[in-house]
Amino acid sequence: MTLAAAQQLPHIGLRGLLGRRLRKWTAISSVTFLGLVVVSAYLMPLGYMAATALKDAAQMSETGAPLYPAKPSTFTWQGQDYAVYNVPTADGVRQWALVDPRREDATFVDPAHPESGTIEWQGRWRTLEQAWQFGLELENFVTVWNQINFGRLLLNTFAIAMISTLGTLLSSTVVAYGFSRFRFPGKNGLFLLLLATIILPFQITLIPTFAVFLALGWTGTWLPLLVPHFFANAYNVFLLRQYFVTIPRELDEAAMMDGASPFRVLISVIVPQSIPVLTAVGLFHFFFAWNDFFQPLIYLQGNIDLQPLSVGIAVFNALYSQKPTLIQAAAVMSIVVPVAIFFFAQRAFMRGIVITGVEK
Amino acid sequence: MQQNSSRRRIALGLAALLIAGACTQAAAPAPSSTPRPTGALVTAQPSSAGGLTSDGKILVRWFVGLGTGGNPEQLGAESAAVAKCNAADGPCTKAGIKLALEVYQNDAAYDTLATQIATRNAPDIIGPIGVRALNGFGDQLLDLSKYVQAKTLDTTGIEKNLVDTYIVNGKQIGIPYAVYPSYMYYNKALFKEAGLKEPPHKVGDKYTMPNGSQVDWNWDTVAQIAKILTVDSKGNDATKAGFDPKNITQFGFDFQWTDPRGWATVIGGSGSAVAADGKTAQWPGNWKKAIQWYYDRLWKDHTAPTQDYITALAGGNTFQSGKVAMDFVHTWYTCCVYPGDNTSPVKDWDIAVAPISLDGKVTAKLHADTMGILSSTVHADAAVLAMNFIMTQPDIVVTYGAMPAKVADRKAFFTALDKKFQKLNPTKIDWQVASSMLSYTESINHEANMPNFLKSDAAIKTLQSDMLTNATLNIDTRLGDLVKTLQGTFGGS
Amino acid sequence: MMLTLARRESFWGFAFIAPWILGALVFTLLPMGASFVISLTNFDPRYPDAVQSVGFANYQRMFSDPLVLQSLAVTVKFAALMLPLTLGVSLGLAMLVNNPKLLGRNVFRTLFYMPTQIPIVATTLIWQGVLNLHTGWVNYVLGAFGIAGPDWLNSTVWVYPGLSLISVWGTGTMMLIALAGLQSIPTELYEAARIDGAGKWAQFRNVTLPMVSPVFFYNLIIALIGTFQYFTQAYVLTNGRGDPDNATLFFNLNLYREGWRYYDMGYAATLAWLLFVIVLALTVILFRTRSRWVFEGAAR
Repeated sequence: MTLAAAQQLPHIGLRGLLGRRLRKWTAISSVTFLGLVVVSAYLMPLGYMAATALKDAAQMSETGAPLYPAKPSTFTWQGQDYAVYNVPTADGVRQWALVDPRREDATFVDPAHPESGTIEWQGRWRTLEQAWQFGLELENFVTVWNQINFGRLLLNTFAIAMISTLGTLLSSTVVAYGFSRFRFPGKNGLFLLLLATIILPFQITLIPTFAVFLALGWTGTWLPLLVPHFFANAYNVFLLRQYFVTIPRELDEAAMMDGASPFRVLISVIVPQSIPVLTAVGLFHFFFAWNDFFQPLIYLQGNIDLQPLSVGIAVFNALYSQKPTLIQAAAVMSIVVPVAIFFFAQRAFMRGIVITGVEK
Repeated sequence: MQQNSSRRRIALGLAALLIAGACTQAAAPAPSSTPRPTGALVTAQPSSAGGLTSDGKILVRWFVGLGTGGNPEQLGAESAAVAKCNAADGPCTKAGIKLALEVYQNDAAYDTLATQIATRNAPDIIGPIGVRALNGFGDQLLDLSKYVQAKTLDTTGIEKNLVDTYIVNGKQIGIPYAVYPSYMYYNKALFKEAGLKEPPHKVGDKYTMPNGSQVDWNWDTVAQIAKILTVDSKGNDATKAGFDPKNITQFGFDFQWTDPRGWATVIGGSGSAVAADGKTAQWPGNWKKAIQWYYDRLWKDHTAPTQDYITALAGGNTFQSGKVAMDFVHTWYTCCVYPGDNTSPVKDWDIAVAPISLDGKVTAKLHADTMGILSSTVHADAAVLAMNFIMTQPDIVVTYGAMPAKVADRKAFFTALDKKFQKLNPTKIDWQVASSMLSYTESINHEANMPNFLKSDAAIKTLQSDMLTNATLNIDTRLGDLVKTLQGTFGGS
Repeated sequence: MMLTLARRESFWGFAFIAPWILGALVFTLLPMGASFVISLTNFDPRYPDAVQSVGFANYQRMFSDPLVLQSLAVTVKFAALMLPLTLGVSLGLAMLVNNPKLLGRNVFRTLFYMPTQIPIVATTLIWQGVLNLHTGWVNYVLGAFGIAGPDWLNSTVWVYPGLSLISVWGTGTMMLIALAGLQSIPTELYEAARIDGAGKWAQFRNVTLPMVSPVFFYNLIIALIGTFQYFTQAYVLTNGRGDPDNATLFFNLNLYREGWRYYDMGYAATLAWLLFVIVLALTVILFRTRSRWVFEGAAR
């Protein structure tokens, strides 16, 4: 080996390493950049929602208004407010207040020198750019909060979602256990029936179900929203059962040998083995219950003290249909909690989904 | 996966919609609404339980939303009236009644009420109700004749023909409560900017065109000045060659919140979609001309906003956006021309008389509201007492923009409106215009009954949507189709 | 002895599934029966006492009702556009947020999932603003590229792409499912493909697609059922009228109108049964043809 070659060796190694690193970082940054582009396009409507929520109502129907929240600059002159425009003049663009608009000319006043009186200007004021000042209308959120008793709605929503999640987890686990571990006559037929109810359109049972709850005197209470969840949900049963069958039977047989009852086996063997899938089912149900709209709407009709957020927001939307700024402010407020929960629970959530497998 | 489950449940939920029907409302933005927040809480106790509250009072439920009354601005007055009746020394409390308010947004209200009746959970008082609600629920209403005779419900000072309007199948199902004449709201600032004279405030007065000529105040004149009042983003008005209909920033006029029968009546003059035999569908010649006239303004002149523009202008409240120069609406629009503090109202506006219709006569369509009591009520006397209290609350009348049916009460009504709008300096409204329009109401109400009303009405609303969204309609053909469809619904189920 | 064991097992089995049996009886089967009875009547909720049997008249009427045909056509047209779009986008997004080279993948997953957590009514209102011909942001963006954007929601043609965009926005849950499918693909398969000299595209075609096909199938079924129950967005955008010109008269919207606008509850129940039969038939057909869609080796 020559001296030169020997000297080059570490050099090459360094460059190769750098090159690999560089390639790796190029790949990472290009994928991440692509991700950013896609996510910005995808979330554009969310930007619209946020921007609208922070806008002044006056900005909404003003053509040429900026997309970001802003308020028109105004100048008070002789007791009246006038909008400020960017007016091109011989001395460059000046910000003047439009006092008297006419079609082909207009009268302005210079906010910097109001004492020098009005200025006549030739041209069409509509072709001028209005002066806007960036400004967030946080008042929208205050209005929403006050109008719909947000705190109580939040509490109701949370309670309904938690209780029904608990109910469906308990009952669906028990039923899934029954389907996954025991042989009994008609089992296959019953399981098929269970699957069939998944595709049953709710419309079919809607009216009679309502009549049942009415006859029970449960309308106007949370009972119709909570009690059915304690009788197992076909979908959740299906998912849990698919998972339970993958738990080796040797585990429960060993427990049985020790004299455990089937119920004891469920609690001490199956459930501890199924925490991820139970978490996933629970979270899905929680999100579903959080946004569930029609059932609470129907069953809590008139009983505003018990209504959840989804209904409160919809009511609000209907009432304020001509005030998009308030509607979007309400929407922003309604997603804060679920988004936060999803973000923090995301890992557990994904693990549950992957474990359940999809196609089974 | 579960995911599915959440999806499916959403789907289920949708279905549920059905149930409540009502529910739907909620779904809808503009349309629907729902039970809304008000001070009074109504528990869904079936009235069969005797309609008593837990402390032994008679529960009287007041259902609002079939006419006006479902706007947020109106809730305050309604809740206050209920609170006043329920106060320790209020008339309700003295009579052992607890009055409860339920307010639903207009479209939702119909579904909700039907659901409540079906489930025997019906309210006692419904109202204010307009013609459409009467067509849907009129035969569910209690005969009030004995209360009118006993003067528990006082009709003194109301024209007899107006009182008799509410005799249906021999039953007095309501008493006139409010009348809403219609006229032209106009934005004074926009007229001034265009250098145009303001429209006349007296029927018969001429309009002075920019060239100084005196012309009749008719729809032809409206079409002409509307062109001058419609402007694009470059400052070209609709009379100019370079006018760009894709970037209009200001419109000449609009017909807020009505439908083709309303347009046809105001522009074309009185008429009906039902022939005299009560079962043949028709669309009279003056109405045909009126529809063509309006369609030309939408798509030929571009002086009236089409659907895409309507949604962009203050969420549909076009005149309030300040971008519409004239708007032909009723007295009830005083509710919404000024939607309350923290909004940007049209400051400088006034009202003008209705233009002469195409048939040569002035026709100002009329809305009227009543209140009624469902015949399923188990305590009619208590309901009548509470209803009478509500109908005589001045604040409610003002917030509804409900010109009192009793002539004697009208002065106070206009004074109260002036007070409401005094913040909008410099506006001072010429209210005599509103009163004067009562002499020019149509011979047949434009919302009058049609066979199979709900379906027939839906067919007419479809024409409305077509006109506002489709630039290539042949109006003659389209109206021919409409008459065919109407004949089908008239004769159908 | 054996018999006793089997009996004991049966006892426990029934005991454990008892909650579901009870729930299904009370909340599903009973109401289903009642619903069928309603479909044989002229039930009008305003006149609950005047209900009369009409035999199968509602079913006869259904087959000659042009609006039923229209509503089915609308639903099919929409499904033809929306299903491939949402399925494709959800898979694309899943691949993106599954890419190890993406920094902050958890944040991206949350962001893509976020729109599904917005109440559906609010979502629709957002899009009503975003898709406005004059002031909507979509047309702003198109305008920046020199394209004059269409009137998305008021055109009988463009309303389908418009509604599809709204659906694509709600694809977060499908994305999560697709992501789960991607994560369950053993990395050895890709390594093997690479050793065989497969490029990125070949890897996608020969490994990713077959391996996620079961997930895809699942998403398809759910989305298809969802399409036939599509309602809220159309309702919100058109005040429940199916504007423009019945172009958004989805099956469910028509059903809703009959039942709750025209108070013809018997007919609405009949339409609900038609819906059930259609959905059931489609699901059965899809499952029957499953082997053509789905790479069976992936089935566990």
